[in-house]
Amino acid sequence: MIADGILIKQYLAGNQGSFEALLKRHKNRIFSSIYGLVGDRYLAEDIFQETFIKIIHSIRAGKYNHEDKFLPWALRISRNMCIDSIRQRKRMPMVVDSEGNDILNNLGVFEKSQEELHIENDEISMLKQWIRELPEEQKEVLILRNYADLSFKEIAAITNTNINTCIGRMHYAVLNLRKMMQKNSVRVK
Amino acid sequence: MIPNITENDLILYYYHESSAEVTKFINDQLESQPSWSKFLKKLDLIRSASSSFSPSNTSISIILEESIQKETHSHSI
Repeated sequence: MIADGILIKQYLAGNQGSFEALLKRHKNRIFSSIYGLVGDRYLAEDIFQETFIKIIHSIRAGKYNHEDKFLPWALRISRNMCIDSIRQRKRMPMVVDSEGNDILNNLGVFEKSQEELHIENDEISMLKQWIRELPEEQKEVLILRNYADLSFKEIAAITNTNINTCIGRMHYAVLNLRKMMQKNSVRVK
Repeated sequence: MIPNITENDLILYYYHESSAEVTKFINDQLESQPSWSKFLKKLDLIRSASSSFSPSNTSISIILEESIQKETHSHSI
């Protein structure tokens, strides 16, 4: 397997195929992390595109100096974009129709994809929902560890924390999910 | 000396990030510690709920086009 740093050098030398290889290698992990953080397919697609456009510009401007640490670097860019987007959405006033419903939902702007609409009444699908409901910091560590397969050390570097904080957040995420699982099984039974 | 294994140690063990000494200790004691196995199974379940998603082909095309356009643009300068 050609290292990420080599692919970037080849791309800079004019080899388009090297960029495609880099994109193909990391697209799912980066996209899944974005989707996990923002929880909206359409928004995730936008952020994914913006992330890679920024990556292209940075590489071409000679600003990439992370050798083979491409994925943590790319995830740092996408994470910042996710944070900006979440802040922006929180500031956005809700426009309601005459019946008081969010007009964006009615227009289908934040509509759920078929993937999301497919309701599976099992533990995994419920867990997916509960993961979305976790506090942001816990969700972030869980997503970066499970979706992006980053080590706790790499997550600490991206989130400007330390390893113990990351492991602690992961632990709280597991405890919260365990609580939800227990609560749910009581309710179901 | 027998290390005191916490759930944080089990998290590191699950993700193959614990030290060789702790890994060996957990491996050796796992069968006699049902609470550890239960916790590791929870981690496994949570991980299996973290399924991977793919970006759309439209996004991929836009990105690839951008990467080519920039190349052409820089040559024309």
